[in-house]
Amino acid sequence: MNYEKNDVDELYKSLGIKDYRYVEIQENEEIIQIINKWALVKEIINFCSESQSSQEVKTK
Amino acid sequence: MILTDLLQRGSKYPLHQFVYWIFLQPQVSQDWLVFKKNYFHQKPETSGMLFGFIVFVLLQLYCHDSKRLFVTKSIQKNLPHVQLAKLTFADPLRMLIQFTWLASIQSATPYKDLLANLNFFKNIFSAVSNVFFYPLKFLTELTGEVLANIEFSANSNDGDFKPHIYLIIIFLLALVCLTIPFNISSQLVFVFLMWFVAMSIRTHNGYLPKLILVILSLTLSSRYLFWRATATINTDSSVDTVTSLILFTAEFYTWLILLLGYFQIAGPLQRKTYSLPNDTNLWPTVDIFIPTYNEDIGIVKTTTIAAINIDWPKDKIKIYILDDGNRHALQDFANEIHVGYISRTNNIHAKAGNINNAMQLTEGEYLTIFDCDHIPVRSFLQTTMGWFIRDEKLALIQTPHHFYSPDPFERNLNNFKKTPNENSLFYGVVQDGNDLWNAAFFCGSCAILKRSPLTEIGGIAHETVTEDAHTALKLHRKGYTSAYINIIQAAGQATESLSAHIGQRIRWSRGMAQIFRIDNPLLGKGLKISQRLCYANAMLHFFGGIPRLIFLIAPLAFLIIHAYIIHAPTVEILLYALPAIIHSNLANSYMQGKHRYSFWSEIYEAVLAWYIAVPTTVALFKPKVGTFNVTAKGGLIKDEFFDLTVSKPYLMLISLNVIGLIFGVYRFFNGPDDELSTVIINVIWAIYNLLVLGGAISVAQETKQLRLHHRIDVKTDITLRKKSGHLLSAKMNNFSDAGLGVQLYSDEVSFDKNESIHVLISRGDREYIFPARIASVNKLYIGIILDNLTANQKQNFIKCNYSRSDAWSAWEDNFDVDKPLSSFLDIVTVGFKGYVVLTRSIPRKITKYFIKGRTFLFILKTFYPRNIHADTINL
Amino acid sequence: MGSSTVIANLARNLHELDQDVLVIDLKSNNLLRLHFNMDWCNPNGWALNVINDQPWFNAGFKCEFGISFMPFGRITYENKQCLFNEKIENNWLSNQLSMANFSDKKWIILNVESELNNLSIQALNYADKIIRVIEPQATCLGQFYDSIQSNYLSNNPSLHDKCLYLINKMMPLSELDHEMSLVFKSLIPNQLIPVKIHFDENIKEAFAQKTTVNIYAPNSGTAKQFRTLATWLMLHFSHKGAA
Repeated sequence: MNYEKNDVDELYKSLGIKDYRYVEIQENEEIIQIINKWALVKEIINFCSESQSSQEVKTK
Repeated sequence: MILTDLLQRGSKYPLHQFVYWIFLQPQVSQDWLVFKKNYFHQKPETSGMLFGFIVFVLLQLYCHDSKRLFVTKSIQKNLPHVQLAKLTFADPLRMLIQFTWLASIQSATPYKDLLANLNFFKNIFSAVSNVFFYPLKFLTELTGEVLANIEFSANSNDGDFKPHIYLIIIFLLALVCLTIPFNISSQLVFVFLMWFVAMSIRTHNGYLPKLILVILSLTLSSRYLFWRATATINTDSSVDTVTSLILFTAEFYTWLILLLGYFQIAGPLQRKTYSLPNDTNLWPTVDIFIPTYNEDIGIVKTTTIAAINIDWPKDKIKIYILDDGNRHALQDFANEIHVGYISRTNNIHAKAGNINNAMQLTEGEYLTIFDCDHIPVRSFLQTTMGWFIRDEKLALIQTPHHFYSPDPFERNLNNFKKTPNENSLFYGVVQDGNDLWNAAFFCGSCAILKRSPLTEIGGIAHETVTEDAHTALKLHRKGYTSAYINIIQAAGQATESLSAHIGQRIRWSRGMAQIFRIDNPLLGKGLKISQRLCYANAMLHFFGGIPRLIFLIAPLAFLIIHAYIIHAPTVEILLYALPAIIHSNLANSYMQGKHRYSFWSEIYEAVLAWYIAVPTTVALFKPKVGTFNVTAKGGLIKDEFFDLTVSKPYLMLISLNVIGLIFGVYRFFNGPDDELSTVIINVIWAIYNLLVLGGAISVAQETKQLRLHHRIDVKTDITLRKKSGHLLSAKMNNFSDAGLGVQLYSDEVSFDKNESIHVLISRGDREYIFPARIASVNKLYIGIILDNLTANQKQNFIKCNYSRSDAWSAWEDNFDVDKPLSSFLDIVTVGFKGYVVLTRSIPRKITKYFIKGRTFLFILKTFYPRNIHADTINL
Repeated sequence: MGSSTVIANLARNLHELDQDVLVIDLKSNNLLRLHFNMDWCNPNGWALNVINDQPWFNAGFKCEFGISFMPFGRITYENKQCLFNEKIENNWLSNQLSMANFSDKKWIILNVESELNNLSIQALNYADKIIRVIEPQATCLGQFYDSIQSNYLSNNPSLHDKCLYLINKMMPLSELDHEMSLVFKSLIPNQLIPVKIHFDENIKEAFAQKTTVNIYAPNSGTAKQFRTLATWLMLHFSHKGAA
């Protein structure tokens, strides 16, 4: 068992399954929590996602 | 220098001086001193000195200068069991045996150069084996080609080629084979032909070889049974008839189980995963139930936390501890980590009632059940749930029960992780086989049930003590399907003691007998014939107690009461019975490969036979009798002890067989000549039984358990942080839910006992840090205990070990495929060990002789040659 | 101690993996050399050579373990102005390095100033890979989106694509650091190197001892992390880079 490799990848590799989709639900939920926890981080991320979406609108 | 040294020494003892000067040249005496220093590692005694001197003289005479030192050193290395300085009178014999061994069998040593000429033993051996193996090798290649051809044509023109037709023809031919009686010589030819086919085909992989092996085995077993039924039932006297019929019934049962078994595991489905929809909003809601009654709260906590770690949308998963023990500590714990806690005022219907009660208070679309000691990994739901989306009718998904601690067999026989355990056959092969026939059972834990079908059948079945199998049966009767996914996604602790293990099996067998009686799978509506057969096999399997007991005492019928149970000449018996046994072994070994080694079933069944014989019989006639008993787990066996209560039946059977043996010896010397061969067969049978029973005895010798928290072996890199801010990389060797064992790479940094440190463990590219304390220091090995973890840290700790989705995936890679012969040797060793165990509880007066015998064996063992490995000879 | 320490350690580990490494210090603080046990009072360096109109590559050194490195050299403020304004023309770096005609197998690691100037822009454009060293902190997150350097990089798609990010100085005990590195991972999953370098007393002590951590404390946590980093880089790319 190699702890530095992703465990799900290792599991599916050992089973010989190639096309699978694993959703890292808890990690994603944790990231959203972290972003909401810190005011500065939240501001930066929000600002960026807004500017990104506005850029996308412009290019369209 | 040495010369002057000698002269000085010589001056003290004039006689020595004389010897040195007259008989030895100064150069030679100098050589002798060098030789002495290299040859003897301690002060030599006279005998050793004498022998050393002979060696020295021989070396001087026959060995070239440049090789002398090399030879001197390698003599000691090649004789690890002989102390050259203190030779005893038997040592020359030991040397002779050792050198013969090195020169003949194990010749890959530095002695190869010196003794290469003696190597002809090995050449003769390989020549003999080649004569035997060449035809087989040729046949193997031939069958390989034939098989490839068949498969090729089966694949290339699927319109024309129908393997099924061929199989039916083969089956019809086999049917003819069964019934035609042969004389001895034709049977001999027939048997050998079959054997050659089987031997040449068993090295090929694939579905077809498996089928052929099964058909061969079935042919021979059925032929045996047919022969037994038509030609060998003894009707000479009433005793003969009764014993003969009893044995025949037991054999018929075995044949039936063999037949059903082949059917059951002929084509394991080996389901993989099925992906869930991209949009997590479409994923169903799941309730996780953790039923518990009186188990250790620590285990329940670990399981619950691991359940929280399962990757599933937070608003779609709810976890409940179903506590039938009404424990406040557990309720507080549930509140603390925000999971549901359900308890009830009565304990009606035990686990089934517990779950049914919780079902009424919850509303998830699916129920997942984990016994409180089965710790799930985080990918549990994502690897399994996809199948429910794919198949509307699917009502049950079962995953394997895996144990990270040794079961009583593994612990007491000391073969944990060396031999596949008893469970492995069921979860590795049988359930996968059931899955093909849509008959995978519910095993009570590590499974997901769909709520609506479960409600339709009135919740978990509570009529019997094995609620799980009965629930699955009811679901199948309603036309729902079940699935088995052979991916280990949860692990738990095995039963701790043999008595607990037996208790569990008694419950299972009683429950299965109850189901067989009140809701017989062979009767009733809604099942396909294949499902009926699979269920029937599972239940009939538990009736194996009585037949097993019959086999264990069968030879006594002849040896003691002189009843001819098989009415046939010895040669004929051998020609019919042995091939049947060998072929069923070959076929099973082929199919069960990594999951059950040959002959181990004998021990597993012998241990249980007596205990399940009575409950199944009782349950068959009075299904309502008997209560539910929880399988006790998580205990600690503090001292080594011999479980005398449990082993009473084995002792009884052993004494019977020993008496049989004594009779056998008597009959051998005093009986009529035409009975000799029968006596020999029966004596061999009795000895085999004694070996198997000896195995049962050694299982009953409970070994000491060191820890309450079982440590799980891993090999992985972690980082330690000292209070000073220094980071140190180290290797984690094992972990438990309370701490870990760590190996340092060097001793540059030292740790003190009770020192506070932090441990950094990663999972993927996530990293977690835990406060800890050094519990023990032993050179490079240190034991670490986690210290005051917060609830969150505790959860993270489980996240990066128990909850890893690949935590158990490499487990079965350790096992080789079955090797019947070496497996047989293991059984012999285990059986023998049983008798060694027994000698300890016999009065001193009798043991005296045993101890003498053992000492003699020990002495004998010192003559046994040792293998020398090339790396130990490092000049 | 940021990029210089990372580069020195990385170079040592690549060297231990039998790679041919050349390290060039483009930072005027001239600290990289100290990791390789160069005398503190020795003023030599390529910049000094350029100022004095000597061939710049004469300033190469070899440390006792066999890594070739080129210190910046000790120069004054006026010399520095002169260097950037007059001596270094456009494409100076790429011309000079291609003249030297190194083999393709050689790792050329450039220690680039975080401030954008004539030289660092040339280095960024010349490099095959850019490793940006970040600290898992909110300030870094801000700079990651809004700083002169970040804007410059994100406005040049070719530069942006060859950027890799390395988390450095992660405090093992800090909850926030763990959280921020998780945020970084979610923002740039494909560009973040999956090895994190921790904040370790051993690193400070190694520098004080004028060496790198894999020599000072070969079994320390960070020594292992640098080893992993070197192996990772070797597996994914097999030449040149800049940081």
